[in-house]
Amino acid sequence: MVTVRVDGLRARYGGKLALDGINLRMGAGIHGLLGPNGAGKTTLMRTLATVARPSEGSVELLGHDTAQQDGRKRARRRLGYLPQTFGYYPGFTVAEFVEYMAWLKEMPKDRVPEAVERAIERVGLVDRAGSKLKKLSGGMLRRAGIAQAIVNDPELLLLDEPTAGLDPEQRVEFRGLLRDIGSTNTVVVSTHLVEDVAIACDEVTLFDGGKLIFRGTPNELAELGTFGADDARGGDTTLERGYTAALRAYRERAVA
Amino acid sequence: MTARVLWHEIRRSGLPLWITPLLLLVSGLVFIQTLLRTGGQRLEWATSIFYDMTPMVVLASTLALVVAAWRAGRERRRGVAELIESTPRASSQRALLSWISVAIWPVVSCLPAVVAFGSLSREAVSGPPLFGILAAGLATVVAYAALGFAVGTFVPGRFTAPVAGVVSFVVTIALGPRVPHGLLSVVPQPTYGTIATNRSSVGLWDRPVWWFAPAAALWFAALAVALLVVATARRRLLTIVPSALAVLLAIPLAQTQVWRIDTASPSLNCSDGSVRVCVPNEVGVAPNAVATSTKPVRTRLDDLPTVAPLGVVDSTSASAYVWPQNCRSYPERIRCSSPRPSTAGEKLAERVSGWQCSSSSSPGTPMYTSPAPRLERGVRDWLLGRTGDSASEIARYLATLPDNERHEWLSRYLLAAERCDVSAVAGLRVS
Repeated sequence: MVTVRVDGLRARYGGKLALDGINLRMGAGIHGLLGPNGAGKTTLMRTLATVARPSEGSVELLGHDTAQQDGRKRARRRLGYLPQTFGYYPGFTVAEFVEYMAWLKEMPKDRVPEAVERAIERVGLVDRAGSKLKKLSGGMLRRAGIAQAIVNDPELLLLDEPTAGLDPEQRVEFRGLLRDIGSTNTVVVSTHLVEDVAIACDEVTLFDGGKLIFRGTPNELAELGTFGADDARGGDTTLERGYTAALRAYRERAVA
Repeated sequence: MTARVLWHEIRRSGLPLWITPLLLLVSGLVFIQTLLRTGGQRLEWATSIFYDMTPMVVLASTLALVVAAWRAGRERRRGVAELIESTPRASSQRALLSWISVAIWPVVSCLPAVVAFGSLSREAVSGPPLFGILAAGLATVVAYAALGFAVGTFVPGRFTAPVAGVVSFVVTIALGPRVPHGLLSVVPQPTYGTIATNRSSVGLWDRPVWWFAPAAALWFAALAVALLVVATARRRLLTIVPSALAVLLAIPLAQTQVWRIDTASPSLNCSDGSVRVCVPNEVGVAPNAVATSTKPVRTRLDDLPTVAPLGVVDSTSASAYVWPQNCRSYPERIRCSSPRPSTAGEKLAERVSGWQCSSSSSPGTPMYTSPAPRLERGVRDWLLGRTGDSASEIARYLATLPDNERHEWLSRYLLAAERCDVSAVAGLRVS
């Protein structure tokens, strides 16, 4: 089932065209968004989160047209979002903040206590549930951000740089969480870490200069790098080399 | 659920730390004012409410404005706006929750003023307590919180709240008294004035018309709603016109001279019994308590010819006494002596024995100088039953006189005192 349907999407960020003619379909599973800085990943995430409005094109989430106010509201109830810069209220505890977000997501009140508890447990912050957010480390804050994103069991989960600040052990646990959620729902992860994509994602989408330049499985991306295996500038792993190769090929085509 | 989130907002807003000093400040100001008014001094209700509301309205409203402006800019300052934008909850609900959590603390800081007002209700004079004005004052604080929220929403910078607070404080303090009947007078502020009546010591005070307090409270509440709509509306420009109309409604409200003469204040409230003791409504105490307190003095005054200073009120005036209430008007206040019914007997004796001379102030007032102080003190002591060894010589002398001689002596003195005729008492024996 298609949960994300993007057609002819053009979007601006700071007056500059950040996404140019994007067509995309996503279903259940984990989708990685890769690309260099300024490629348009965050603009796409913001658009999918219904925070940014498209200049052109249409975005349909979970069967709802986000151009319509009612459709946007219905979609928002069923999505979870972790922005690249996670803002929070420092005086709130982890549990209070997650509960506040559950209220904002208009969750049925009888479900909230259990959902808050479960979300905090899934990100491994049970022992810090009563701690104020201002007392948490960067990694813990990121996990609190993930907890608020998943509190409503979203059918579409959007995570922008979710592993930034997490230590290796936490990243391993986080990938497990992604797999768990992605088994039934749609998870979109924007990241710079090719390694995360290789291990966790079912599908990878590569952007450059606002254009979609590659879409396939991590293995298919890795195969693009097999021809330049001896070129150390392409990366240390096959996926990194595939990523570099795809970018170079696109840029060469664009110059030509 | 909403209540729980509101509770989180209230607890985690950091405002309790801000509120504590303000609570102490308002409490201090109100109670100092209250304490200064004890010691035999009474104030009219309009003055009492003014003293209570000045710290309440000025300080609490300024605080409400500041904290609401600060809170309104919180989402953008903390970088939470994007996250919240991705949720379905209506921005008006979110803003209302946020606003309530900050507006509640300034309202709480008004509680000392409310308590002080309640405690003063036994002391103040001139008609019934003006609780409606107090409610209008609370509505003022709430409206300021809405104004701050609207300002903070439009200008979410870090300097918005302190600048708005300073501006509000300066405008309220500096311009408020200069615009007695202008827009700012919508904030309940009494004007002062008395009109002397033909009865000495009974005054008419200004009171607001009955609808003023509810109208002012409603106006402030409506203003608060209008400002919140402006702050949360998706299309803000469309809300400007109805909001401006709401603000402009203050002009007719402020221009109707709502503080008017209280014609009911001097009407009498009388005790039961064959001899009635009447107390003007403005005194605000039970006439029966005054009757009990004054009974010994009144018993000694039986059959004496002059009760005129006590007040002749109607066809049954021969048995009606008006409790002498000594009130003096100052430019900004009215002070009344003898605040407690228990002292009414003493005041009655003082009044009866005092000299009604036009060149002098009334007996019992600070400026009063008796033309015959020894005689006056003696008569007063005798009326109060103070005839023991420590009593004045004249009081003891009066106690030894046969009834008919004492009656003649006292009649001569009281007539002289009422006519301010010192020569008439020149030949009175004093021992």
